Amino acid sequence: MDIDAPDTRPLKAYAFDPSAGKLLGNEMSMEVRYQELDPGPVVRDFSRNAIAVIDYDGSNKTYYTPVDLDDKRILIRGGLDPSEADPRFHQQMVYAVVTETIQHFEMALGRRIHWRRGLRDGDVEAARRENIYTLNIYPHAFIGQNAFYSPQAHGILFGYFRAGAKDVGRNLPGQTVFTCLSHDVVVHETTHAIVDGIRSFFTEQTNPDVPAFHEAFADLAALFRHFTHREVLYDTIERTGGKLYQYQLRPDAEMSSYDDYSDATAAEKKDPTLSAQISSRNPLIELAQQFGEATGRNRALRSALGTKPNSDDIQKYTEPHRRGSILVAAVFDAYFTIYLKRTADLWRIFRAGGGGPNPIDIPRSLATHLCDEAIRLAEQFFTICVRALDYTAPVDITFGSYLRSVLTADFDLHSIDENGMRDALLQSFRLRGILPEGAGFFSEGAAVYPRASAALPPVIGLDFGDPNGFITQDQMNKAGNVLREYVTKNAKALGFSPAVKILVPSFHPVFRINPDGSLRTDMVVEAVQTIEKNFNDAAPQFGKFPLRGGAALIIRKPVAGDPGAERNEAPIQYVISKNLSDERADRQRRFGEHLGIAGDSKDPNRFQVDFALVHGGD
Amino acid sequence: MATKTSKAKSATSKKAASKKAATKKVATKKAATKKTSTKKAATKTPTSTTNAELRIRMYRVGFGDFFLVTVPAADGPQHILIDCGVTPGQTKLGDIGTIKDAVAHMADVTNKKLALIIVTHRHQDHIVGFSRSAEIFKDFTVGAVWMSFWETEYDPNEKKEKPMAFAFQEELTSLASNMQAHMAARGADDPDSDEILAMLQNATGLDQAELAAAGGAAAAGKPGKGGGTNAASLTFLKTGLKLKPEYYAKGDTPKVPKVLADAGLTAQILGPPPADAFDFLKLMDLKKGVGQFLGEGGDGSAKKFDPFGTQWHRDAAAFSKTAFREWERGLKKKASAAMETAIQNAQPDLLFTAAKTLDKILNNQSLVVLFTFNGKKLLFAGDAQGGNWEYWMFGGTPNNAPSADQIDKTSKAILGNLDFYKVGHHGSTNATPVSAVEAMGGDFASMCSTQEGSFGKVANNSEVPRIPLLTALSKKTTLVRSDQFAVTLPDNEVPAVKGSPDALPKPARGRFEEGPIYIDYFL
Repeated sequence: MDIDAPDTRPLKAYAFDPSAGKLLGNEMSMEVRYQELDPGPVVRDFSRNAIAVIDYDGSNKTYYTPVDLDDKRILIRGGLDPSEADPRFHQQMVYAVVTETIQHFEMALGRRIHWRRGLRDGDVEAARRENIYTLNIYPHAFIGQNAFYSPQAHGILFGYFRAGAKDVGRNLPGQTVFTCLSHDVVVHETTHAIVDGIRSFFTEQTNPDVPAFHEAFADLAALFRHFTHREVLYDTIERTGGKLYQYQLRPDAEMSSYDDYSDATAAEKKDPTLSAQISSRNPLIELAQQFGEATGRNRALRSALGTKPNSDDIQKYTEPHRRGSILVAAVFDAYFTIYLKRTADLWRIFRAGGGGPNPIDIPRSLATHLCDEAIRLAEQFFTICVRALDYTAPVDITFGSYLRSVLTADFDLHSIDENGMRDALLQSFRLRGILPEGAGFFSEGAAVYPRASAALPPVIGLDFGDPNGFITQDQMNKAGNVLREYVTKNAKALGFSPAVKILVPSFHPVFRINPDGSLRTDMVVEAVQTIEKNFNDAAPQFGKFPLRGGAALIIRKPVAGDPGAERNEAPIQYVISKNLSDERADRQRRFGEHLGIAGDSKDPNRFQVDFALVHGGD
Repeated sequence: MATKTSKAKSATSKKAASKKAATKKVATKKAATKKTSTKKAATKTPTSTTNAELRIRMYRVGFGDFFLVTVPAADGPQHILIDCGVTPGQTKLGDIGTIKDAVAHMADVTNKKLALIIVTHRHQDHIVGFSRSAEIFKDFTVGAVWMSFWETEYDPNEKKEKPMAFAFQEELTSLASNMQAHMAARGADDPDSDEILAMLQNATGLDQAELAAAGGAAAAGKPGKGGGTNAASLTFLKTGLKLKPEYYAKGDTPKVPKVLADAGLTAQILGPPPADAFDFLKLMDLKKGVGQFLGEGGDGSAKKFDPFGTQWHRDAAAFSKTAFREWERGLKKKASAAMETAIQNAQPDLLFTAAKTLDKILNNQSLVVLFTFNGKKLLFAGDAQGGNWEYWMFGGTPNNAPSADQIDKTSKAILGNLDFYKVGHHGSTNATPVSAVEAMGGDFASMCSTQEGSFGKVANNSEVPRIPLLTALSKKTTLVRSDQFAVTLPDNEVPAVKGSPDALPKPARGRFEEGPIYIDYFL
């Protein structure tokens, strides 16, 4: 008798990075979905979203021995043990973390993902060149303090470098630091690749929020991963007395008393003498500690609460990380607000039982409950942030429109804001000067995108596939034709310019569970049109830029009893669009000018975010 | 390099030539015969300033700025010097070797008396003349010196803490010298190195060739060819003139020297933007970015090292065929080789990016001054780039903020009513934003001090001066370029660049006149 293929494969990885040592489950075992692998690891089945780890080092011009994860000596160990000196462990870890990140996104989206799709306007050759079918992962691509997603290299390049000679935190001076061993960095870069697959035009620099959004979103994905490490979370809750959001963890030991030493200065009295007295930073809200410390920052690369709430920063800062951190802080502000709200009753019970208002130690059962709540909530926040992507217009993302998408995505499934999540988000964004773009009023009702007009005709004869996606190519082609015909016929009503060709870069059936337990099937569709605009109409020699209009359509599959269900009429739920307006053209023109990409350059990629430069040096 | 330059020149001249084809004589002949005796203006002595006339004189020094504004006043003409520098550029053709003659000429004309010196920013092509001709400048009597806020000096005896701008400039200079030393040591095998080097030399004023000969940092402090360094010029300007410079940013009310104020001249400071700690952050990021090359972040980690040891080295055959399927695209190359090339190409040259950023930071420190005289408005923008312009054009909001409005009314009024514009950054594409060109009124005159073929490449549309920009400008303005007119001093002659027009254009208001080493605009 054959044995069933297993569901998952156990693999070991660092929960943070090597500098965190063996404490607190830093050496973790991950259960990632089982796939057949060739040495690399290379996923053998490349039908969709496959990855291939190829350990080629461009600086040393060599390959490193690829790991064979099916080797029985590795299998029996549940994956190679963590080791900085063995490149095969590095390959295993990036494979595990990338795969798990993909799984997380797929779970949140309710559908499978694919990698980047270039423009598909008939040019099959160009599409083959630009599309990414198998995402390549290069764990040691070059020497340098950088790691980045590169559509041109069809993958993610991780650098390695020597730590500085001083101020290197927990690293040895001059030790080699591998960016591919930082869990945060791997999740961050994978997120860039995933988002690029979901929205092909999001990497086009049309306004200052574009690169910042990519950075913020990737940071959010990495940060919310922290809140799934139960062991770390539990420890943090214990060491902060339940106040998860504090920067510092309480040291293990109290300060010694210097009162007996009359010659000790006030400053000396504050200095710890034992390592157990040194307070450490809260690992949950910080990103890429080893990396940050190795480059002489003496702290993590970024923090979830990096910016104080104020509405000026958004006007001032355009550097992607700085600007992105405003969005990250807004989301985490809402997260902690809801965490406090949902755990308030637990604290009331604790106090009723004689607990103080600001306890240093909390009972184990309380810590467990807080931990459960934090994990559940992180999962919810991550899901709503990811799901929002399907509710964004396919072009020209801004923080303000993302806020509306987040609210709409949640509203579409849960029309009643039971936990006050949407309200918390709206308030925390407002505090940071991020306002719902184009909304008439500042209220949930106005910020959520309006439902599509009832006057829009339904889509007739659309095949929604089945929960595993489309089974056959033929099925998919037919659905594509139905959709293309529909958007072309109804161009004007959908906010498009009827004179310009409309492309449909992607469409995906999405399967979700309604609050009442029934299955809901939607089709999420991207439709885009492009015109060329002059940077300066009076002087066309200054060159052109592409101005794109686009709409995200959410089409609901009718269920028995719906009007029109018999005729297979699927109603349009949402049309979220940005059209080819002069106002948008002006904004894009000015931004292009600001970046210095205006002009008649011949480089076709000059409008794209260059992740290599965005990440350069951090 | 030589081939690139000649290509750049011929391409430029072709465009210019077709435009002027109807009226011109064969330009190449003029360039070939070194003496440009055909020009009638060259032999003519320029008229002196009449009572009410304002004169703007652009000295021809190559790629650099050297302007003298002469204001008629009750006690005779009063002079304002705006910048005095030149840089050899990427091709080493930028410095045409006339700046010392120009300074001597200027000393003569002004009797070594200047009412005001304006130093827009500390690039070599704006200041090196002050130290190169130090023996002349040291005898000058100067009424006032205006510099960018970023040049603010401080006395360690007076204050403990360094002012932000001072500390910033210190960091910036040390970074630029470090990078230059590193580049000198690295050698010229890098395709972009000539451009990086040119930008760094402009930032420090130190000569690259000498740095390389002396083995990098050891030679730091040696002046560039032709003499003078940025540091020496700055020291002279700040301490050698027996007066303390005024340091200005947008919004400051400048102290116009009395002789000029009495003559009816007013001034407004439009740039640089006021202190913003964020610029500091940009610099810090820059430092971190290049730190790995300069050995600051680690122990010389730019050096290659093998992270694991040779026992782990393999070739592509160690992988199964499935590994490289992403690169099998009917190409002639082996799939694995195609992937290897893609990896090599994916890495940006961080040093190149850093040098560009540094260049931009310095340009954006430019002091931007708007003079008004007899109701006439003259704009001297230094080398201000995007951020600097945006700040005043859009009323303080960054242009790029999604909420940014159109150009604000005051700025629009200024640009719409210009009488004279000193073209920013020698006609480079990034120095006069398209939106500014759009907002400019018509019928004004402008001057661009530049030297064709010093920087950039026509092939990637980065040549300076940038043809489309000048074309767009020339629709609005009567434009004169310094490199299109020959230097005809008795012992120093430099021909005009190929494809130059024969005669000076006629502006709607005022008039241009040509001298042996300068062009005048009378208004």
